[in-house]
Amino acid sequence: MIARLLPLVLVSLLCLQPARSYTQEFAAVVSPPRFEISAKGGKTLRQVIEITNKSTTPSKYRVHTSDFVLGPDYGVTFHDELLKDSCRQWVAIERPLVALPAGGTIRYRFEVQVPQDAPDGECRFAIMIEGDEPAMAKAGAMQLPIVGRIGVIVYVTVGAAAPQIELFGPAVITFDGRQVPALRVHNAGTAHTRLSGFLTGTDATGRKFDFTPSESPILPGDVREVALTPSTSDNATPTLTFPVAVQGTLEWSDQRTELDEHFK
Amino acid sequence: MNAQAARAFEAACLGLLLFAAAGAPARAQPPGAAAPPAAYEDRLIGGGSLAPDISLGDYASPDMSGLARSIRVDAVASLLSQQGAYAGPSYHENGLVADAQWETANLGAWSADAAARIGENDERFAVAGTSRASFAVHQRAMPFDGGWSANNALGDLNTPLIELARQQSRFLLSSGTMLGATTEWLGPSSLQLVAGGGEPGIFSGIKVPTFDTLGGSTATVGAQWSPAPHVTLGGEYAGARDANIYYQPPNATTLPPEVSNQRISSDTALLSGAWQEGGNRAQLNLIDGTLDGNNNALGVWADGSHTHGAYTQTFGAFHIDPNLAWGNQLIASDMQGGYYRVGYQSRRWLAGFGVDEVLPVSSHGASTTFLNSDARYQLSRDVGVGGIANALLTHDGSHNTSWSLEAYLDSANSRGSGRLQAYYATEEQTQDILLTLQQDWALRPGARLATSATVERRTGDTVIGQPQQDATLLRLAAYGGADLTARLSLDGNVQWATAVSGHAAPSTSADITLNYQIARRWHLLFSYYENRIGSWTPLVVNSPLTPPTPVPQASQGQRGVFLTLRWQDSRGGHFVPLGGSLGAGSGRLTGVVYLDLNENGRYDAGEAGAANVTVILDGRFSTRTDANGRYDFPAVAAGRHVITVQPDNLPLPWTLLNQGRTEVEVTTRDRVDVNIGAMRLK
Repeated sequence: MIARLLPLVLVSLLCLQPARSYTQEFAAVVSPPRFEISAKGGKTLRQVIEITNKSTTPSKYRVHTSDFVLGPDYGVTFHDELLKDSCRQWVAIERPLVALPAGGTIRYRFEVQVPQDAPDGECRFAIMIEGDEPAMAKAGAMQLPIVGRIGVIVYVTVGAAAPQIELFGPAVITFDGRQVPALRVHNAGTAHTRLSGFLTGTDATGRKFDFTPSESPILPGDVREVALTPSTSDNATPTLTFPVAVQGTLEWSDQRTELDEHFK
Repeated sequence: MNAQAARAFEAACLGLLLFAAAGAPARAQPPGAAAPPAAYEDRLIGGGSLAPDISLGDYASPDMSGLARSIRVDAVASLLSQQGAYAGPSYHENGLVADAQWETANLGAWSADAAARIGENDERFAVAGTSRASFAVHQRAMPFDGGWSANNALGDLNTPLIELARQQSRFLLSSGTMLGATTEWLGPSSLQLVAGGGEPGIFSGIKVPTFDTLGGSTATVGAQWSPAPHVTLGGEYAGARDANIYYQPPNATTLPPEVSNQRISSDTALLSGAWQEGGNRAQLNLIDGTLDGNNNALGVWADGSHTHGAYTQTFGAFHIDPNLAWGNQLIASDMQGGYYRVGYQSRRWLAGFGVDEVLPVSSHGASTTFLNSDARYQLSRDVGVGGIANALLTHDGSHNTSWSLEAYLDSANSRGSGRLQAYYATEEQTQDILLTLQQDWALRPGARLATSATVERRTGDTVIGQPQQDATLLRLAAYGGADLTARLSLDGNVQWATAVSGHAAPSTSADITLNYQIARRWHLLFSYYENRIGSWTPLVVNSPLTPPTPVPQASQGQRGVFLTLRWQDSRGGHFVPLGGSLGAGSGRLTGVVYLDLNENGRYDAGEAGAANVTVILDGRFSTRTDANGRYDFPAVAAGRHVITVQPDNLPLPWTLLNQGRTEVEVTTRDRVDVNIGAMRLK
């Protein structure tokens, strides 16, 4: 655990320092942050990622694809090796190494060639942009080589793939340090989705709140607890007194359902 | 750190954090563990034969030495022409436009803007004056001790206003333009002092701005401060002498002489007081002045606002006598009345209502009541509905009423987002109905397209000598663009309208803009526009007893071409003095660490400096003494600081009591010498 957290702590310390000390380091800006596109079998999609070198010196970046896994806490783990059911063989990238002058921007192209006989489903992968040279992060007297990298998540919906959300019922979870209502959901479909909707509710004291579902992705096969974050017109982070009743309409993709739940 | 650098650093941190959170553990392999699976090797498009599509950045510069400075120079060439029976000659607007900005360590930030025309001006165009240039130099945020800072400017400027005069919800005092100088001083207790004066004038030009003076003079002086928490008081005087309020180029006849030569002299004073706490604010304003020697005119108005939860209410009352001016600017006068507005905003609702009642103070003019309301409701994630209603009631004996209604449906769809909108408006003699369908198309990144189609039905009363108004028009419009490469973008607009029934002038308009980065500091911008009204034959009513007569109208139009070659560069970083914030005032802190041979506490001739000793400022910033024992902090934030010395490198048997701790007061743009003497160990 300590080994896992140490780099995080050190990098966080690094980011608290004045920027000028580290302007020679990894400073890439990537747009867009993710792709959500659809395709039919036999089609080739070409997309463009803009990578900008915001540092004051020329930089080199290594670009490659990765598979990724979303953990229970939505932490992302990237895998350079092919995972089971990976669709990265469909993907072709422009070049593995990008050299950018200071301030330069490349319109980096990648293609997804969906096979003619590809079944309905969702192809997911990440385009990784990594600094080619390790940077030295300082934390006190220690120096630690660090390679910065940014992952751009790509979702390709193939054919008639679609999410199918099943609601298991209410729960109360701790979210950002507060007790909030949550919905247990299962995506029994073949494509990812995100919940949204306009929900209102009342807590045990009779106060009224708006509730906003967490918009984190729910991948096919995932079971998640989707937090319903309360807010009022003059308080973005109110504290609820349970039990809480929530009503409204939940929406995802092109589907919706009415919600009327009590959270204890 | 500027915004761009901040964004870059955030991105860098994001990347680093991504690695730290997810990447690092994947590389940690315990001894004896199985080798990690082989990484997949990506396929390359065309076997890697794609040429890279790279732009070189605009302002990014590898040269971060020195303080931030930038410069931009545009060389502009243009040709504007008109077509049709009354077309004027072609007109060129060629010239140079330059602006530069630079930061200084102690004198604030400076900027200079200048433009100069090259070639002949055509005075027949009302937009073109006789002036051939404009310029302005600004100095901002020059720091002084005691919390003071100053902004000064010289050139073609706006007259200054105190903040209380700017924070108006119903009436605005105009800030006129002039060739002159302004100064603003900001001090403790929110004190603001402003002053300025010069010759009034106006800007003209499309790409190359020039400034024409109008004669006469204008001047203003004002102050405001906060004598107590939540309370601000202020006052300002503005005057004008023999100032022209309209401009007309020589030989032009757009304005009649009695208007174009109208000159005014005025003296006006404003007193204002405001109270603000939480979501409540109230302000009372009193204005008193004379215009062209008339009797004193008085204006008083009060505004209030109250925000509670999702509701915001603003309200006020006013009484402003006729014949009031602010400098050489005529202000809305001869009116009294009140207003009330309320707005509501929630996740699903956005709504507002307002009523404004205005009556003339004198016996001239009409009373008006203006009502407006709007509401929008988000039905679901993708669908919203809304409407707007306005009504203007005029009570001048005829009780005219104009009103309009608008309703719309917004919808996010698989192709992007669209709006269906219906609009109805009626005035005294005309009615107008529009039905519009708009769509913003979701395209690949870097491409943009929006389209709209409108059907409009106009109807109106028959007016002798005027064309019959009844007509149905179809309007189609599209806006699109694309980043064709990393260095080339193209955007364009096209609109087309024609009458599908009745009689109305057909029209087309189009414009296209191209932006090409030739090299890192060089850009080429090209734009072209063309507007054309086609020939048509309206039926003109000459008499109720005879049929309308066709009166052919020739086509007319205008077009313009602009070509701009731009060179721009930026270098350096922002200045942050030691122990201060961006732009704070600073002074120099220097001195000598010396060996106090005679132990008199002074640095005397013949006493040696201690070389290579570390001197620490505020326990955070350090420097080393040179061979003569001299240390130097060139820019230290104004205020109290503490210097200490690490005695490790002092030659034996010398040492420092309490690490040579010395408290020092640094003042802005000043030099403070602090010598620190070491004592011989005994």
